Amino acid sequence: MTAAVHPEPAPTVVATSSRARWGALFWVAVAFVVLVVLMAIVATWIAPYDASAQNLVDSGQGPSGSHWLGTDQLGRDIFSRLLVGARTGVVGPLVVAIGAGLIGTLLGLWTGYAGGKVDAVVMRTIDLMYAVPPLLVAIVVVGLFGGGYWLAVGVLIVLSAPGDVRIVRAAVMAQRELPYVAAARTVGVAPVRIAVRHVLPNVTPTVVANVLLQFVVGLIALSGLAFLGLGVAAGSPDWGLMVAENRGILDLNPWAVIAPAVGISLLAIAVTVIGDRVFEMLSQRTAAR
Amino acid sequence: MSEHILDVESLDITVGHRELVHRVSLHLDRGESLALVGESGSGKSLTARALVALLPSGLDATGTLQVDGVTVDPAGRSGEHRGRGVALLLQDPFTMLNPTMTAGEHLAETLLAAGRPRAEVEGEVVRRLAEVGITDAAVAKRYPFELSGGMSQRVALAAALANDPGVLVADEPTTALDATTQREVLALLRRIQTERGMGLVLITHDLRVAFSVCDRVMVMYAGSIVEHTTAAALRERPMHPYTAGLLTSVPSTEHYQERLLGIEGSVPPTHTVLDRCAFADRCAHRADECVQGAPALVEVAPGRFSACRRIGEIELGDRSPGDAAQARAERRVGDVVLRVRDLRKVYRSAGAERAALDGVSFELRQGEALGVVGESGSGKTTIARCLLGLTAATAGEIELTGVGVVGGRRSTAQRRAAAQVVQCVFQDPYSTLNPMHTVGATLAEALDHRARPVVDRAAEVAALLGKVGLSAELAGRRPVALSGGQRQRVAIARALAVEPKVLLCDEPVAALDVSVQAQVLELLREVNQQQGTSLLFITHDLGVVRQVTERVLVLYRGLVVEEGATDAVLDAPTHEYTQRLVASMPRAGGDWLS
Repeated sequence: MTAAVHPEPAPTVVATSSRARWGALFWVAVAFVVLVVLMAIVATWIAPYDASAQNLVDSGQGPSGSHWLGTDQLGRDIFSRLLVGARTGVVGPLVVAIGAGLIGTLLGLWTGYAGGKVDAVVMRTIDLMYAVPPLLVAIVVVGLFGGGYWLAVGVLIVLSAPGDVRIVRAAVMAQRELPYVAAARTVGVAPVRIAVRHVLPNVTPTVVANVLLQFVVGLIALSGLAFLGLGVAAGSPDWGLMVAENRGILDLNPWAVIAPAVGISLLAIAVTVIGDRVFEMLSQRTAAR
Repeated sequence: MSEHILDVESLDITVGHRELVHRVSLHLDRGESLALVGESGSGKSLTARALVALLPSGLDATGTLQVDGVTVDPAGRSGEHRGRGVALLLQDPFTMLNPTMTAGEHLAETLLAAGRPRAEVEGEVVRRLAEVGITDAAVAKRYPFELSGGMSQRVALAAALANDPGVLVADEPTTALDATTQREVLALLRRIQTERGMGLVLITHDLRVAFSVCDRVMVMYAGSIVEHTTAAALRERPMHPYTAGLLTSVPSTEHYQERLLGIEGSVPPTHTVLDRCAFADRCAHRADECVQGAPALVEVAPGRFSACRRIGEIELGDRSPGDAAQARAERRVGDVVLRVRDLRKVYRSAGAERAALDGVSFELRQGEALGVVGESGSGKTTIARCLLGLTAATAGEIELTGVGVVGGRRSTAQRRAAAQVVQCVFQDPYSTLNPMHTVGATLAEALDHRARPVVDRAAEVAALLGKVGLSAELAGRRPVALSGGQRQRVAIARALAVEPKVLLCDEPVAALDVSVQAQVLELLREVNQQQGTSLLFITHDLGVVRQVTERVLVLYRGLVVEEGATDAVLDAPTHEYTQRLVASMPRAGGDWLS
């Protein structure tokens, strides 16, 4: 509202010097994620053994020529189970991330742009949801209904969405105050169109980065639930469940625990790296003056 | 070489392999003041930063820098001389003080760091504040948010001086301040510089400020120095086409100019013009020799340095073609298109009420250009927001022709109808356009909201761009590829696309460089005079209001304190506030600081 004059915008040096490249780390992370996704797709075709086939004679063995990562207590091939386990490791978290992202973006855009009563009602509800610890609720709900992978996914979507709403709403509110929004209102553009066509593209960096981060949270949560026996059905090949099931044979075949644990960690780290970088690059594009 | 307190020899500032500042040499004696004048992209602020070895990260500097005979690294790799010989005063008084520290603590911290015994500090703080004109001892206990802009800038100045530096570098110290405050702070700066016998390097975009504060002036353009001489000589006769252009670009506060002379185009990036005269592309006197090699800064007359090769052969002409007052063309105005009656806007915060608008009434007629002049806090932007329906007025009426009285909360239909009458050009060219939309998409969207149906969109977009003096090719670009002036033209095109009766301009040129300002003002005058669109022009700049409007309202603390024909109000202001405002406007001639 003042005549704040700034004839000399701060030199846009930082933006130009780091613009050009995504960086090697980013591409390593992308390569790893692509590898895991490919594993998930072709797992049953390339796996040397049936992931559920028991072979009690060879149970609890260490790595060997015929079983690269050894076997578990029931003699199932760890390498095959690792390959097939990539499926629940990718699909569930992805559904959680996209589901929560969709809810978060829609509600965040709506409440952030409209403000007023809508905002108050939605945000107070969300505050209420924040008041309960999400993983605990997941454990109780999933346990109450007898577990199951998709139930766990569904519960995690509902529990992750409030965070997304908050983040998107904050980004929208920052954009809403900018003159280009005022200009669109002045021209007579309808509110819904302003929100979708003007504001949404400018908060995309936040939305995309947040979906990727939510994937990580989903992966950890689902693995944790599986570890507690509340996710996938007992016996299914799943990284989290493998860690739980094979705890007892750490002395016989430590790889039965290490391999899935490393899988979970590396996937989580890789997606986090991608998320950070994508946010940086996208916001440079939108914020470039 | 080291008898100067500050001596810079061929300073280069680079980012990666790109040069931003090119071979700048300057020196300063004790008790002398030097102004570095230039527009955005001239490299003046970076040069200032290098003088205190505080360049932004990622930038590198080479060249020699001597402070009081001691060689220091301008790139600041060692950082050892910071705060010793040279102090820095920054532009924005609101962000350069730490919000969690009181004014006194800021000063005490610097005094202690300079090695003052703790016992003396308290008394010293009072003495230092008095030096910058703050005699109220309570100010030392206040936090930055409790201080006005001018007061903050005084505290920052006292903090910068706490070390008793030999040289003070002041980077646009008054640009963010209101005119009346600017005048006080500049006068203070000049007085302290003289009293202390300190060296002063003043960075500014305003030649008038440079003339009134400094002994010598260096004009920078695209990273190089193009002219250097004494303030008096430069004021008398510029010896570089760019300086001449800068002087004529400033809209006169004293009389109406029939034609505003800007400089075509905008400042090029330094690294693209190192092999030629950087100004050649925008210069009316350009010859082939100008683009063959970079011209050196040479002494063209005793004590006068210019980087123009052709300065001996060209005639820079009458530097201010509008020096003689020019008569305004007789204007015909039509019916009232906008009527505001007793508009009030009260903001409530923490139980306290503050009236941003305290009963403002005015009328705007078809084809008329009405100025609203005021400083920060006068409520002028609140008027704009109320008119546009961006905020609801507390009381009062806004009546638009063909629409009737519109309230604060507008229905969609009312909003549509109001859009046909009033459109707006906003202040900040950098955020007025959606960064994710192309220029074409922005204009097409506006065209869709016009009452008259759109037949051929692409052709109309091209026609709109042509109307505001832009090439139709720009339709495919995003705002990031445009300069500030170009963006503001697109914003004007967007507003005109709806074919409104009133074009509301909220400080449309305040963020633009002075050479570009004139182009945009000329465009707005054309819209008003040729197309008959009424202008409601909100500004703090009396020069701008003199050139663009024929009637003016002076707004002070939410009230209209004076109203009348622009020339009459500015020539013979009757209200005490208007008189103060007129007196505080920078003038090229005469000494407006005392």
